[in-house]
Amino acid sequence: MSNILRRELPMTLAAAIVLILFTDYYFKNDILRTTANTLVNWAVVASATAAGVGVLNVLIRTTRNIQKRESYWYLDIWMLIMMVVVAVGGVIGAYGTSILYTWVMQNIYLAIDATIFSMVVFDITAAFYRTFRVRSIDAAILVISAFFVMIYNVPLMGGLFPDSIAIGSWVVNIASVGPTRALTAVTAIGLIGFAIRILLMKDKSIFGGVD
Amino acid sequence: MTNKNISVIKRILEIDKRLIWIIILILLSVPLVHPWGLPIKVDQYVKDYYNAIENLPPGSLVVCRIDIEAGNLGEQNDQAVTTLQHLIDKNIPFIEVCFDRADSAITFEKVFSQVNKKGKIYGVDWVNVGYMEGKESALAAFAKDFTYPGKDQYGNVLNDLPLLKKYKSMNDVKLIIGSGDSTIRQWAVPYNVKMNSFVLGIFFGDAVNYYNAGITVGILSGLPGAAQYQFLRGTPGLAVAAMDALSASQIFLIGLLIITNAAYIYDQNNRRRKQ
Repeated sequence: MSNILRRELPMTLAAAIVLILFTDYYFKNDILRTTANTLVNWAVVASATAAGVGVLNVLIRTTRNIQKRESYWYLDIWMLIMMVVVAVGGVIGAYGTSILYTWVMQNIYLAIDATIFSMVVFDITAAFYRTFRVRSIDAAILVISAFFVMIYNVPLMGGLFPDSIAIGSWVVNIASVGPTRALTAVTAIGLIGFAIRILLMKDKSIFGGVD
Repeated sequence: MTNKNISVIKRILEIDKRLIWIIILILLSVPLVHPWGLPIKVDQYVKDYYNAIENLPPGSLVVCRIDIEAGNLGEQNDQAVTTLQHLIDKNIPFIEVCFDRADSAITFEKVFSQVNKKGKIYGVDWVNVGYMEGKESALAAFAKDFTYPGKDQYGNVLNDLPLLKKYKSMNDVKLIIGSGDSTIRQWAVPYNVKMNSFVLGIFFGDAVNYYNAGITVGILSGLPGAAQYQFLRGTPGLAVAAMDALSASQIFLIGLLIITNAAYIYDQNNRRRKQ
């Protein structure tokens, strides 16, 4: 009984869901479409519930950190306060329209996020200066490609000397597209294979590798 | 090799990073304050992006997935503002919805506040569904039924909005504007709808993939894409001014790349000779 509940039932359910969604994607059938829609809607609800579980997890972890006086425990208190403020502000009225929520997001969150992101430019330029050196054949290929791609990326070069961007354009539009396309196709085929494995009840990894 | 030469090579290879930061800061900020008006070349991707909107018949519905993280606003703000302004100028109704992050709904408000609405009415000419939890499953559910989320960003019942009484699902859409593989998987390909892709510069390689395959019809890539689009529309904004900053900083970095590598090779050869 335990084996049926732990293994057979979830795997059969997963296989059935895969079969319905898989078939719905490729064939048109009203009953199948309605069932697939309902399953997709359930997935959205389940995903929203998972976000709630995530909040609970953060609460438990930070509370433990505060109790144990782990490093920067006072910042955990601040995070909890802000989490409550944003959550309360978010659920007042329609989502994201309360003054509290929009004020926090527009005046604190957006500003901090944009600032941190902008500061990356300095680290990137410093890293670029230190690492882009022809230390080996591989590095030489990287540096030469980078050189032409950078020329391609300078708006002035395209405007004044259109011929100067030809090699960079080839690297961006031809050389790098082939491997990316191969990777995309292989990932898609791999996903189809994964779905077929679930369908045939051969894959247990979706249950955390339970045998 | 003289001691003077060694000293110069050593200095080039060990430049204080703070000096590079200061130079970059100056090169990025001066052109923004005093734009130089350097020439810009408009890529075919951007021309195609522009034409895809320009050639839409009046009354065609567009679905926008303007999912911009706050940190990316610097690069994508002008892309989104110019696109939305283009839709409004052309009298194209549109629906906005986001799936990536909850703050995308806030950044959209910030973006849309810069657009001249020209008297367009909410619910009739445009609808902002807001943020939907559920990632790819939510994309699939929304495509099947636009009223699926129930309420829009402002708490209105979606079924009551005139635009959504007329247009029901992705089958009614003429153009998708957005980014990400999930948009292509769940919207563009299954419903056979044309898609304009607007992406961060680093995702240009991915976007080109789908453009070459004919799945997406145009691409706006990063700030240069926005600048070229503004240039095409004849409405130069901050993105066009930022091109001078980008040119100046990139030319500096190219110079740095050449000088440091020349110095590095010279230094290595010199060491080998000594051994």
